[in-house]
Order: sequence, then structure tokens, then C-alpha cells
Amino acid sequence: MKKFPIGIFALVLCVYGLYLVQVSDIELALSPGLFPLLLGLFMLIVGGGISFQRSKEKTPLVLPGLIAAYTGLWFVVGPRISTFAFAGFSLYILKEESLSRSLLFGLLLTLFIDLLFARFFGIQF
Amino acid sequence: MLFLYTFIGSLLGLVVGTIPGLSVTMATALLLGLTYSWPTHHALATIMGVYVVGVFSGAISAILINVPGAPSALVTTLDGHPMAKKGEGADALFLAVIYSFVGSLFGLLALALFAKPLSIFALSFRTIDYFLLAFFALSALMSLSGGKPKKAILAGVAGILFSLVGLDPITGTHRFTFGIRLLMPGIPLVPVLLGFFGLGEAIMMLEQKDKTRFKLNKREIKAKEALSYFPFSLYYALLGTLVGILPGAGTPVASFLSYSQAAKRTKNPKVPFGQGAREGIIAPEAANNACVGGALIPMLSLGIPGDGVSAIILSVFMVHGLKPGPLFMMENYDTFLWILKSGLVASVFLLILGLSLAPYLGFIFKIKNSHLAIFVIVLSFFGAYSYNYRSFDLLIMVFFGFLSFVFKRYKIPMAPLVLGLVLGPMMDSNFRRSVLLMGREGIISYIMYPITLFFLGLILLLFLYPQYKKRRG
Repeated sequence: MKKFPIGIFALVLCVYGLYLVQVSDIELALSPGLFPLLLGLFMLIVGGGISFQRSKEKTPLVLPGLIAAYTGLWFVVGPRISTFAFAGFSLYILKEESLSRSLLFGLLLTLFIDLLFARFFGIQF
Repeated sequence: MLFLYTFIGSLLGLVVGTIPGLSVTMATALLLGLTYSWPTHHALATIMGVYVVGVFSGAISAILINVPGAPSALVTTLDGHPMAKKGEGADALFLAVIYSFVGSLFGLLALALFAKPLSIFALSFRTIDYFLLAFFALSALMSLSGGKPKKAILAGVAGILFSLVGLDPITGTHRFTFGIRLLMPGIPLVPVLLGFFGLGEAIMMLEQKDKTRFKLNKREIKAKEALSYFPFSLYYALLGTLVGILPGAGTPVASFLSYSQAAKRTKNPKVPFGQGAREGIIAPEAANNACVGGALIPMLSLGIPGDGVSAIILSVFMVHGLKPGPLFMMENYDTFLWILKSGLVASVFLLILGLSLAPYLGFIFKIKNSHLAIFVIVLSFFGAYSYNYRSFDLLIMVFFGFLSFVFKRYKIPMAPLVLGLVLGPMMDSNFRRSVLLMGREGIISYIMYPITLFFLGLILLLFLYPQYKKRRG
């Protein structure tokens, strides 16, 4: 069952390559679908014997969750506030620092980043 | 300016390389997000500083706290840390600095001597030769991926696929855009590299233990005694340079290979290998720094990166509108000389900073991994956004950050994906042009060309030799 998705993916790639060959309406040699088609075939041949052995270590969920939240916040409230919120609360949520120290870290990091990117390099946010 | 920017890079390389968890690859990727708006020469000088000094400084934590600062310093722990435990830590650091410097100079000398002749030779390459060369580079990863050849191939294929996203340069057809307008220009390299080497590494960083304390005694080894190993180090510097030239190998392979060679070739070492042999530090340190110059030879003269960091340096060129390859050496010779000079200046800074600051970097080990991880994540976000001023690039970066985490969890090597991403467009366009020409001239008459036959032979050898070895047991 672990080998199944690779084969399916390779087949999808072949079909997509063929589709591109069809829609581009140009000779096969120059067609944009030729390379994806060949890659699909190559993957089908090579990927058949692959079994992905997942490492037994526990998957961390907190930090990836915080990163996802940071990305969402960036779109909603902008870079500075989202950075302060992310850096300011992450250490507290990760149980690395007390809330006050965590907030201080967030504030200092936001100031440093603002100084570096916006003031020093003149990047507009 | 050369001195200033190389110094900044060298200092950064020293700090980044010393901190376990922060890699040179990550630092160059983060720097790419910062330096894209700088003049090309300034950006290159800074990155060369990070590259040359960062490869060495992995040895500092390897020797002092038995945790390699970089994968290439892993074997340095084997003899470096036993020396530190015996109170000879300062001696071990001294040897690492001296022979990293020797290795760097050796690699850069090879770069100065061979890059231009190779690029002149490469002028006679045809489209099929470029395709075969890139194919060889990716295939070479298969035999160097530590028992995971199929996973390496799949990662390479995935990299090529990601490079095909966007408008096809020949016909203008949309590929893999799925109606998303923002994907039309393709997947930008900077967010991908920041996601892969910044975000992904930061997530992993939290799982590593915080560093331990150490004690460093005064140096006892005399300079004359340390320099007596110079002839011994040259063989390993040569080995490192050759491994660097080989596409996909990189500094970890260079240091592992040279350590095993040193253990085999050294008859009667004063201290046995694994218990604090000086040769066990000199050989890998000379080799991994020589690898830097070696990796730049195919990158500058053929446009084929030798390892992950040179793939990022290649993207620095691309970001600044330069295209490494045979013509680059003819048209931008001043930039080539600038890289060479930056490398030499960085080597001198390696010596100065290594001898003066390395023994005092203990405070770095006190920084918690969680603080570093948050810092790297924030820097990656701002770097990715600054590249194009597009919030969409953040989504690309986060996607590749999580993908890198998945790669690590499933033990899939990451370097092939980056190489595939960089080499993909070149492979695609050259392959299609070759197929067109083959159709016109006939396959046999088209491939009956010495360089083409040489590359075909090389690829066949790469695939068939392991099978032959397997059969012979």
C-alpha cells in the first residue's frame, strides 16, 4: 500500500504530459508535454520498488501549527504585528520561557527585523 | 569593499557554522533573501565568506562539545573530541584551523587553474551534451546518496517537476499552473530555498538537544610541529577537490572519504584513530575545505553545481541576471576573478578569525535551540517576502518548508531536489532541442560525437558499475 501513491502519481504525470502534447499542437520534439511524459515514465519504472520507511520519531505539531498561524496572520494583520505575535507567544507556547520573557523576545526580534529589512535595506512592507 | 563584505560573511560563517543546527546551506539561503538587492559582487563576497569559513567552523563544536556544527564536521568529532577530553582541545582547534586554511587554498588554486580551460572546452558542447551532463550530475547523486539511490532519483525528479511549473519558454504553454495566475512566472528559487533550508531546518532544530558546556585548556602544540603535517594534508586536499568537482557529492562525502583513507594509509599513528589522532582531524578538515573550490569549478564553467551550497550560489547568479556556464567565463571574467579573490580573502579571515576567536565562542553554545528556530523562521519569512514583495511567495516557502520536513521524516535526501530544481529548465530545453535535431540528422549520426559518446559512456558506467560490483560480491 505504501508503494501505491508513487505509481499513481507517475501515471497522472504521464497523462498530464500526453494532455500537454495534445493541447500544444506542435511537433512532439518541441512539445511542452514531452519532458513531463518522460519523467512520468521514468518515475513509473524507478518508483515501483520504493517503500518509504517513515522514521519512528514523534512528529512535532506545535511549531508547524504556529508557522501556519503566522502565515495566516501575516495576510490579515501584516508582517510586523504577526511577527510580534508569533515570536512573542511561540516561546511561551513551546514552554521555553515565561510569558513576559517571551513577549520581550518577540518585541526585540520584531524591532531587529524592522531595523534590518525596513530601515537598513529599505524594503517596504 | 571586497575585504568588508568578505569579513562580514566570514564572521557570519564562523558563528553559523559553530552553532549545531544552523548549516552553511541554511545561512546562504537566508543571505540570498537579504542580498538579492545588493550589487552582485558584494553579495558574492559575503556568500563566499560564509561558505569558506562556515565549512571550517563546523569543527569548533565538533571538537569542543562533540556535536558537529555541520555534516562535514561529523568525522572531526571522532578524534577532535577525544583530544578535547584529554585537555588538548586548543591543539585540535589549532590543527583544524591551519589545515582548513591549507585545504581552502588548495581548492581555490584548482579553481583558478582549471575553471577557464574547462569552460573553453565546454564551448564545443552541443545541446545533447548539456542535457547528458545535467543528467549525469543528477545520476551521480544516486551512487552518492548513502544507500538511498531510488529516493535520491525521486527527489531529483520532483525537483525537475517543480522547475517546470509556469510558462513553457519555447511554446508559451502553461505547465502545472492549474489556473493559478501567480504560478505563471514559475516557482521562484529564493522562497523554495528559504523554505527548504530555513523553515524545514528550524522545525527540526527544536528536536535537537541543547548544547553542553566545555572546558578549554591552553594550546600546547607548537606551530612548527603542526606544520610538519603539511605534506600529509596535501593528498587529502586533492581528494577533497576531486570530490567537490563531482556533482552532488559535497563536503560531507569529502570528509568521510578522506578520514577513511587517512585511517587506512597512516601506518603507526602516535595516537590510534578514534582516540585523538591528529591525522584524524587534519585529513577531513583539509578535504572539506578543499571541496569548496572544487565544487565551484563545474558550477562556474559548466553551470552544474557540485553540492547544495553551490546550487544556492548558482541561484545568486540567476537572481542577479548572470548565467554561469562556458560563456560566463568569457563574458564575466571579472566576476570570476572577484569570486576567486573573495575566496582567498575568506581563507585568510578563516585563519585570522579561527586562531583568534574560535577558542572564545563558547557563549554561542548557550543560545537555546528554540530561540534560534524562531529567529530563523522569522528571517525566512521576511527574506521570502522581500524577494518579490509578494505574499504568495510566503505560501510557496511554507509549502517547501513542510515538504523538507516530510523529506527528513522519510529520510529522502534533499540535495537532489535542489539540483533538480536548478538543472530542470536546462535539461528540458536542451533535451527537446536535441530530439528535434535528432529527428533531422538521425539518432546515430547525431550521437556519434566524441563528447556525447563520452557522457553516454560515463552515465552507463555510473549505472552498470554498481551492478557489476554487486555480482562480483
